[in-house]
Amino acid sequence: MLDPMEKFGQEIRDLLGEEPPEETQRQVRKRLGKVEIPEKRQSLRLVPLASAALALIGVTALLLTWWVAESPAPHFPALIDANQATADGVYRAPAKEPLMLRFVDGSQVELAAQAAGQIAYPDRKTVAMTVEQGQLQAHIQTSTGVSWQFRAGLFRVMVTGTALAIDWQPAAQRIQVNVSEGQVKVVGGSLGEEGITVRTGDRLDASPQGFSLNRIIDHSSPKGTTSMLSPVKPEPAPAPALPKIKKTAPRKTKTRQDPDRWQWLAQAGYFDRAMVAVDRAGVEKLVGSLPANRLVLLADSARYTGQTRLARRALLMLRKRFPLSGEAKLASFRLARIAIDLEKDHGKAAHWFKTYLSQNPQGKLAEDARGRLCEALLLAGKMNAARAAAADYLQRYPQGAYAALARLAIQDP
Amino acid sequence: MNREGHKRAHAKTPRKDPGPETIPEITWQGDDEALLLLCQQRRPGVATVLYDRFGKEIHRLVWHILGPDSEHEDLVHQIFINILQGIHRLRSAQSLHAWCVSVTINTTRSEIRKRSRQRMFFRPEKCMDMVADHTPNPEDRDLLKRTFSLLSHLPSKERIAFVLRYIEENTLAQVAACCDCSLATAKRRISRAQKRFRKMAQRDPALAERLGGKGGSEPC
Repeated sequence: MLDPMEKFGQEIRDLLGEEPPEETQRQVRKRLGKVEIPEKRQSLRLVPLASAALALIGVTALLLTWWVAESPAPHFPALIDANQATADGVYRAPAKEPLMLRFVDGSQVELAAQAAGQIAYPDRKTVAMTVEQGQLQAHIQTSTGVSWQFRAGLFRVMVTGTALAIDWQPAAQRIQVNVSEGQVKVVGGSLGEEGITVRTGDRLDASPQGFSLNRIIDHSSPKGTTSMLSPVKPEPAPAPALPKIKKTAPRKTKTRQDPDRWQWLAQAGYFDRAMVAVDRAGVEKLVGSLPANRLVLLADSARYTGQTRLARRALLMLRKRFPLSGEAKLASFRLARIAIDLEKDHGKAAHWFKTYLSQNPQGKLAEDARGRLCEALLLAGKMNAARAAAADYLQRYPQGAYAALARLAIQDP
Repeated sequence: MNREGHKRAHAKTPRKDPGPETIPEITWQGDDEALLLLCQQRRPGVATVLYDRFGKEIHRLVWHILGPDSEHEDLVHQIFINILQGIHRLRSAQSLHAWCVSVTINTTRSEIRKRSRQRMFFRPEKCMDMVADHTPNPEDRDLLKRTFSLLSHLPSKERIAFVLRYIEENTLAQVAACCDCSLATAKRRISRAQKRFRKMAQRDPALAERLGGKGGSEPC
């Protein structure tokens, strides 16, 4: 029985064949027919040592000149370990663990399990990574002046920010881009050559048929006023349920643990893994030290992974530590949604909706809050209060998303 | 010197210099002794005769060591130039074949080293350009690309020993003779190359599957 290596060798030999194509052989013969037989070479042994040394210096100088003149300029940023390539420049993450690509300028690209990509340097100041398949997360150093591009099928992601996650499904020609810091521009395919700018917290989902852009943070609103998951084009959802986003995070790697790692994991949409990182960093330490916007991120991440206690704790701490901030005002709305959607504690939900309305009577989410207050009171069995809330809602928003519910509450004996 | 063979060789060789544009058509019927003499006399058209005698074998060796390569033609041409340049040192026609193989191996090794250096200084490696023409099946093409990409990361001596053993299917003694080294050295090179190759192949599911697990075996 043959050794697997011998078998493999045989297979390669069969694929290669015995010799190159006939045409190649003919060309060599033709060239040799024209060649003049070279002179006998002088044996190096006869050359004096000094001449050899001089020749060596000359050759070295020539080589150096040649490198400088002929070789393409060194590519920056180069990969620290280019030997990770599995086949002709393709970087392929193993089946069960991610592959971390580190660059000399500090940029990092983490290919999730089974993902594959190829790195090219179209010019000295551009790094282009072609994503063959799968997910990747990138932390790009933009201060070096090198521009980065990620190519996936027809789409091109031009990085102008620092942290993003890409999920490319070649079979469906579908790309998802999550930007956690900075911004990127995505062009090609259904986005056309003008493309679309994806900013911090945005999630782009594009395929040849079309695209959708979900904004976690509404950039158009004043700072700190809105931070809910809502699509760019507002949907008339009657009772928007809390999104249950569960992403499969890449497996744990032996990379250096950054205390803020949970933040970019959460921003990139890897909420499960972000929560593991939060546990490592210490929940108490985080809720006691994080700034307001990071507490919101922590609460949202906990909420998406179903950790309502942690979400509530972060939001309560936010209200306590930053009582006058915009985030604190929104926190009551978030607490209400946790209570009504996840904990099914309708009385508590009504309390938080009322709190939100008392602090933001004209806020952007006021209509939602009034509608959902009515819903919470109905579910809690407080019919009189529900009717009053419904009447108030109908008076303000007769054509609102909760109008039908409000009318039902009023008509209900 | 075989006088008869020499005569035949002279009879078939054009007497006039064919000029740079014409290819001398020589049907070689002599033995290696006559060929060596012709080469050492630097007779016109002898390069083609030498090619007809050893071309197939040299092509095959280079083809198997480097794989489908855009510089294959240039490299084989260079090998023949090297052979012709150094042939005056050869004393015995019995060694002609072994010597040609040796020049082939050495020139190819130099080429591999040159490419390694180029890779070190960020010059893109030019290889496998002919794969697409050679193998229309994308899976086969992919396998060849992956294999030769991994081989390109082996040290030149180990790579050559590995190819001679597993792709050329030579015996250990033949590998040692081709590489001009002892049997023990040949064994050691093959063993190291095999270990390195397996290690690198583990990162590639398609190759890892073909090589069947992590364990390596001693060259036999």
